[in-house]
Amino acid sequence: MNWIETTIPGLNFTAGQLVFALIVIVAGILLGKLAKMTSNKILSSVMSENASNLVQRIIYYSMIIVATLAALSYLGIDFTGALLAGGILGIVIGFATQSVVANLISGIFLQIDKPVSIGDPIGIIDEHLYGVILEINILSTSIRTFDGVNLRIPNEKLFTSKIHNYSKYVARRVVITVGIAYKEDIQKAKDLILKTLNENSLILAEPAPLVYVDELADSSVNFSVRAWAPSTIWFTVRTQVVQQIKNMLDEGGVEIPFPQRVIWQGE
Amino acid sequence: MKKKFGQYTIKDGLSISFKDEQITLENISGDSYIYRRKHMGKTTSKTIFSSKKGEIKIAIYPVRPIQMPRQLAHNIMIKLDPPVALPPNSHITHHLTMPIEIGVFTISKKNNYMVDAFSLSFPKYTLYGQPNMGYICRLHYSSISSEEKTMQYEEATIMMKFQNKSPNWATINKIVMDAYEVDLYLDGDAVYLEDSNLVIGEDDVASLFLNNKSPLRGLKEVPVAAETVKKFRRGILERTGFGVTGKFIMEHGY
Repeated sequence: MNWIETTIPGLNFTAGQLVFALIVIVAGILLGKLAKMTSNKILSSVMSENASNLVQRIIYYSMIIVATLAALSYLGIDFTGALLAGGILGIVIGFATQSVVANLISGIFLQIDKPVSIGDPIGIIDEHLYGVILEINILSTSIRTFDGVNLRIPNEKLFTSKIHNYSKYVARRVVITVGIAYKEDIQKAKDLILKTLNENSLILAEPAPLVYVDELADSSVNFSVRAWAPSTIWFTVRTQVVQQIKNMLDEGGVEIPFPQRVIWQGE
Repeated sequence: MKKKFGQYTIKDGLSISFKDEQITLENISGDSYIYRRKHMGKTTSKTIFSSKKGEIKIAIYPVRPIQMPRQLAHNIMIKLDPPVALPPNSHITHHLTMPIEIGVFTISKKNNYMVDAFSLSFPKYTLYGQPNMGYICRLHYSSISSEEKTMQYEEATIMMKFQNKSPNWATINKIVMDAYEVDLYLDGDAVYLEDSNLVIGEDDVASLFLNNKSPLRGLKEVPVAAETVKKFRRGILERTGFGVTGKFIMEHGY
């Protein structure tokens, strides 16, 4: 009798069967790798890199698990007890890893729904967090906040939060409130503000800038200034425009008043 | 008037003016040169580079108007003043203008490098379509005439054939094109857009065709500028979905 047919002591299978089972597992790993490489080529053209990586990992580990179960089954290992124990263990693990699973599922939905992409400047409104998406992983998302801090946020938190994506659309509106003194000529101030907007090359010609009297406030007549700018440079444009309007009103001799209060004194 | 666009071999220095912009190249040591651009006497751009041979080759050519003030958009919108009204099943050719910028390149056998680009006209941008699905475009207002009327070094001539294939009258207010698809041609210092035509289809959708050939006999394609954008042209086209070479479908109206 050669070694292939020798039964391993304490086990119900031969060395040959064990070798074959190991070959099945190795073949499963190799097939998994092959499937991962093939799917990479197909998926990378139809979905984002992160989503593609996630699907590839699922395919890879699924094939290994299937191959391992097939090999064990071939060796005659009975799974009934293991399934029962696994079921109970699964419930225990399920309770223990609730948040992990929630983050995993949210990670998958983030890839499908795509509320944000890598490089997008975003704001998580409820949390008052603002920054640029660096990485979307299976369980968490990395954000570089505007003050240069790396922030890791669980995917479940991100997915269920109100997110403002500031670069989803190509253009974004700049809104500024400008107050002038009551004694000033409203039309003159309005013309000066519109001139400033038209002379800024980064303010879009269309949709056309809009300037109107929005409020007769305590100390000033307030204009609402609304103009559109490319989303990618919105912040730069906003900061430029505020300063340019101030300079233009100064040059035009239009007063921007301080808060004032008229006090009547009894005799 | 001496031609300004072209290639220069420089040993000591160079100085060329375009309206308020003056560009100079000065030898600061044996093999090092400093490039300066001055706007009304004030230096606005400065680059130092070196050459092994003790001389340097520079090219100055018109480039697509997408470099200044920064690379914000790769589309150009030409607003027609007045608009062109076309009867059903008709065609007409008009002269229009489009903006250009001036590019300064260093030339070598292996590759060319854009040192600087500047615009003599005031660049303004606009949105074509809606904020959620439109395009940022460099804006240019063009009059319409039967002959060439361009601002030298600021504009290129477009000889556009308008064609209305629809059964309805069409009023064309604007033309939008992808600058990465644009090729420019030269006749001395006069700049022309490649042969082009705008077709209003039977479905009332306008398509702009850039036909990749000279609009007139004897013009030469700008030799350097094309290379700098051709590299990433394809990538941009694939991402934006405009995969058809030389064709821009004006899906947000004309």
